[in-house]
Amino acid sequence: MIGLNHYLILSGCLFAIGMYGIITRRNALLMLLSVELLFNAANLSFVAYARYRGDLTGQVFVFFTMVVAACEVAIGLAVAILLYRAQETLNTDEIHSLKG
Amino acid sequence: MIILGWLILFLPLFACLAIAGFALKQDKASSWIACGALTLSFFLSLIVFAGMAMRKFPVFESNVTVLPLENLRLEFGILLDRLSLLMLLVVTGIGSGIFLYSMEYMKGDKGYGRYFAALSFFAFSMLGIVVSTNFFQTFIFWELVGVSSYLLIGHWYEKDEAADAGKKAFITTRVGDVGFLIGILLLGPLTAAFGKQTLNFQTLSGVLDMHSGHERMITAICLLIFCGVLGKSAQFPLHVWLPDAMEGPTPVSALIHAATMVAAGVYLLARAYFLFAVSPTALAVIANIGAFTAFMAATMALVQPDIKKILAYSTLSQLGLMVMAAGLGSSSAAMYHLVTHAFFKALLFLGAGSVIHALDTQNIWEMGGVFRRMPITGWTFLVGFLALAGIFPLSGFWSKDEILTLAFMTNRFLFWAAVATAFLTSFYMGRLFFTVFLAEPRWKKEPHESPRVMTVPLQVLAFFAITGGFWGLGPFLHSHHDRVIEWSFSVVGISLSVSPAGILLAYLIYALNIPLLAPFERVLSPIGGLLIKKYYMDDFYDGLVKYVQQNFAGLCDLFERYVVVKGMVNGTAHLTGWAGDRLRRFQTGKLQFYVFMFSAGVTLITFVWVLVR
Repeated sequence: MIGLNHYLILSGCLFAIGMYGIITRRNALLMLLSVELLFNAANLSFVAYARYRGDLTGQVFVFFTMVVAACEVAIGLAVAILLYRAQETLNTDEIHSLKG
Repeated sequence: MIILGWLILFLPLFACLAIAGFALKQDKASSWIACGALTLSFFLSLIVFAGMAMRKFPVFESNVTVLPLENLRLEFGILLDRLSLLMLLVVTGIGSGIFLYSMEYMKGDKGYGRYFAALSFFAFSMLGIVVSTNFFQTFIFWELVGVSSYLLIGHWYEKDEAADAGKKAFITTRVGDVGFLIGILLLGPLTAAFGKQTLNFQTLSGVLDMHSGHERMITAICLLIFCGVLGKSAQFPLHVWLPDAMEGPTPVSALIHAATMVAAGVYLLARAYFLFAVSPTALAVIANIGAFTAFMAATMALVQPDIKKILAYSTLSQLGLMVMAAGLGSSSAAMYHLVTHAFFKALLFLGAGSVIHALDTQNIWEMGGVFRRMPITGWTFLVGFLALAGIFPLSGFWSKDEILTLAFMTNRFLFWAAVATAFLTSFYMGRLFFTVFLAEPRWKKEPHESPRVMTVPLQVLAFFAITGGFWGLGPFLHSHHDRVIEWSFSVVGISLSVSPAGILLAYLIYALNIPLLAPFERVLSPIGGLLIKKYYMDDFYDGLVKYVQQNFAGLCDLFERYVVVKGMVNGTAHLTGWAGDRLRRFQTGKLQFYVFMFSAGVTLITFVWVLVR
């Protein structure tokens, strides 16, 4: 029987993988992908809890998150493209104009 | 009656506004407006006085509330009783004479319109003090008098001395007024302790008659209010402005610095006498300061070469006598001397003005022999001189005798100080009169008698200076707080012999040129030097300002410069800058670093949260 804990462990693993990806990857596109992983980890735990407690609010919340995440991806990709046009690279080590 | 009272007060203000608004450049119009308004005030005062006399002088009062506070109403009003009625007559009467005299004296002056506007404004302020019903109103008009006096002393502001004298008068009197204001503010808690907060003279008087206690508080209030009197009536140690104020035009000296403004202090003493009468300590202080001022000013007058300054010091000295009389327990004696003094001192100043007008100098050693050329001025000046010296039966004799008798009854030491002052007074006035009017002529410009506009006020004032002692002003003003003064033959004898003795001595030395003082040269010349330097009072104040005040200001400056600006203002900026510089290091521009810090932070917070729970 697959219970709440399984879902949560899966969610935690996904989150850790996403975080690892963000921290270790230097390519902006890959970092965006990892951010998606974080989203989905969170979504998964939402849905799991909703199911566990028999409360649909969590599921509704996930729909909103997915809509927002879609927008975010659109904007993130647009930024990545513009960044590439301006800097000829997506390597974040070479993009440091925000350095104080 | 009350409507007339309001009119008397506001006519000069209207005149001032009319001149300032329409006639500043029209000499004739401005002088006529000012004279007309004040003369009208004078006639109205006469009518009111007559009307009140028929009803045996009831007390009339009318108030308008200016500022209703929670438990105190600040009012503005008109109080007509014996004291204010008499003072109204003196101020408007002598005032209109002097306004008239000014028309001729100031002729051709650039600021003719300005002069009359300021003069009218002064009359308004002074009348405001006279009819005032409460301490609040008195204080407002008290300050207005200070302002208008500043304007008039500094009338010839192109002259540095005049501008400085104006400032000096204003600032010196302000020093005293600080005390006055604190005294008034303290009246609030005092009257609250008696159950009803009020600043009104009549109510206060009633309250104080009914209750007793709080004597130390009352003493403090009296002394603080007396500080205001010190400034306005130029008593020691705030007397230094009055001699300098002689830089103003002579009619101004006559009006402000002899007859009215300096009298405001004594008037206030009389008006608030119900308060002073409660505190013997305050009265003792007042009496001693008055006597000291009287004597000191008389000695300073001995050596002055400037005719107006001699008169100024004599004013100081006579004011000292009045203050002493008030301090010794009789405000009516003080007011009596105030009124007679107003007549003969205005007369003396106007006479001096007439001589100055004719000779273009104020130095008595450049005058001499003027009597024959200017007989009217000479005769009237003689009257003023004898009245001031206190020669029987001129007005000065009666009022001075009353003060001397009072001193004789109460305090022998002050009595002899007053007698010495009387002797010195007749001596220096003799010196002035004989040098200017009788001695060998030393003038450079041929003098002529002044025109009628100037001599008529002199003659009128001379009439009052002669007869002022016969109207029974003392009993007229007597209030139940005053000591009853009983005649004493020994005092009359002393005063009858001392004054002529001073005049005789002056006659021998300055008219007949007998060098009586020559043998004492060695003793007298250092004293003379001390007197010429005015007891180094001015130098003392200069030093006080130069060293104490300037150093204190320097200290404050350092505090501000280094502690406030450098320490606090710049310190804050530096701290912020430094902190910013440190925090800048976190902004590496590396996304991974941000993410790492962010996730580490979240982990840390979660961890702590779990732990704390």
